[in-house]
Amino acid sequence: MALETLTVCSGPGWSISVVLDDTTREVKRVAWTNTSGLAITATLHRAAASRTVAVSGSGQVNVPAGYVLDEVADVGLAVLVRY
Amino acid sequence: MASAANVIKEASATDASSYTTTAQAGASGKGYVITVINSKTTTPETVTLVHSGGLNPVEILSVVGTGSNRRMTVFRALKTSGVSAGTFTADAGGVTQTGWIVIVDEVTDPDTSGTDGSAMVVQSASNDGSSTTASVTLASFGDPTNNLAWMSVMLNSNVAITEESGYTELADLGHGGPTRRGFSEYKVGEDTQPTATFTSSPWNAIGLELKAAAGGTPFTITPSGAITPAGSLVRATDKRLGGATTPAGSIVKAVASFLAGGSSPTGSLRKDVSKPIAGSISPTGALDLLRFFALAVGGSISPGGTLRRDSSKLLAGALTPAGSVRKDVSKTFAGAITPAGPLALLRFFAIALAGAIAPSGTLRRDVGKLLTGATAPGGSLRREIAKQLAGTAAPAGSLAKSIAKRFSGSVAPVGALATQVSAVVQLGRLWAVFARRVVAASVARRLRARGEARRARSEAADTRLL
Repeated sequence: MALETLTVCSGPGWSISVVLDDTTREVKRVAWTNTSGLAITATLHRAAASRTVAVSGSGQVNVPAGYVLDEVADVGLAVLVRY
Repeated sequence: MASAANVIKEASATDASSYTTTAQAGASGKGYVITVINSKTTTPETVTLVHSGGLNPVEILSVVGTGSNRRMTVFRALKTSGVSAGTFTADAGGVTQTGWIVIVDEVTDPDTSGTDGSAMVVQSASNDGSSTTASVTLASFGDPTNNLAWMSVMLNSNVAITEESGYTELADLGHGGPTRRGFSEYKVGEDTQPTATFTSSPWNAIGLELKAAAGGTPFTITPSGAITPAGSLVRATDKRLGGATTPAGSIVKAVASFLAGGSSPTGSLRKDVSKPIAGSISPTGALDLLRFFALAVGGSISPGGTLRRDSSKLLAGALTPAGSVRKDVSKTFAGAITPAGPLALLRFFAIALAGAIAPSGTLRRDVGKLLTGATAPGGSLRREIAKQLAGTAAPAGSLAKSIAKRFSGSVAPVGALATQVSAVVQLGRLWAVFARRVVAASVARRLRARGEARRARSEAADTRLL
């Protein structure tokens, strides 16, 4: 198994990446950096479940099994930025 | 009221490291939201965007599809002046992309403050999924009535996208090889979950809350001619007591009576003269003895006859006699006195001074003049009354300072007013501010004139009392 880091969402001064299994496309971690000073939240969601983190500074969080970004399952990352 | 319209929508499946729009757009005071979708077999590069007409596009948010073969980036741009229609060029930094979609949406009457439309964008949100409905979740709107909800969608296919009910579709276009689709929509007012529907395909969506200009649609009246104030600015300052005045104690009445009319003495002046002797008296020579002798009669006195009454009446009072006549009564004896018995010797001695009196110094005359006659005032007595507050005034609250600046001189615009919509926003606002100041100055002058008249009346009343 190899892990792949994919920056899925970004703006000036911030970015959010997912670390996933390059074979199963299952998300293992969500990582971020945010030096913009903006209030940002990220929510990894799938059917009947979601995981939300505040995107501040630099950090990462492990993700429970079941979030597969394979363009088939309806899994996604919702991001909200307040200016 | 703010609104949005699409001004450029172009798609190309031609491999290129950049894409320049064929169409042109751009104007001062308008807001622009530009969606750029670039594709590549591996993760597409981040994109920069430039405008040939003076706009400076700034990236808001960029997302990469889960297949890592497509990217959607949304930019904002806004300048209040110096913008002309021009082309937009998206650039992948020299790395060839397999497709481009550029959508330029123009916002009318946005909040133009900030830099390059920074105040126009209140919040942004992104989302992705593989269902048949794309959606993003926004927070509550800052202005749920006037702000705009806007959303763009990128599909990993080239199928039509349908806007949400109540929304206006701005763009819906795509290209094949690779198949991609771009879409944008908007509505006026709050919607915290914009959506769009299509046949199943992986999707990415970016949503925005766009801030409308305060006060809705500005209509600007721009006067022609010139405004030429004469003279210099005059600062008018007045301080007023805030709070209330609460006198303590009771009212005191002060009454004074004055004689009116004039004094008209009658008769002539009389001169009283006296000459006292100054100096001293220095008798000389010796004293002479001067003797007086009196003989006292002894025995008794037996008056004969009857008593006689002498009467006199004296008026009391002055100019206007008051009271009643008083009777003075005395009785004198009539008849003869017949002493009985021997007389007793009664002696008086007087010693006369001999010699001379020689006053020294000179005589000094003391002169005084007295008015005789009468004083006969004319007219009647007049009573004047003043009431004064006793106690102390204890105002409550603090002093309030009011300051106004007024233009002196006059404003004499020439020509007729011209109505213009949105093209001269800044100049119109300046004129509105100036007009409000002129009206405020006029009101202040009227109030001050009333205050001076009131103060003059008060001073006149005080003068009468004094």
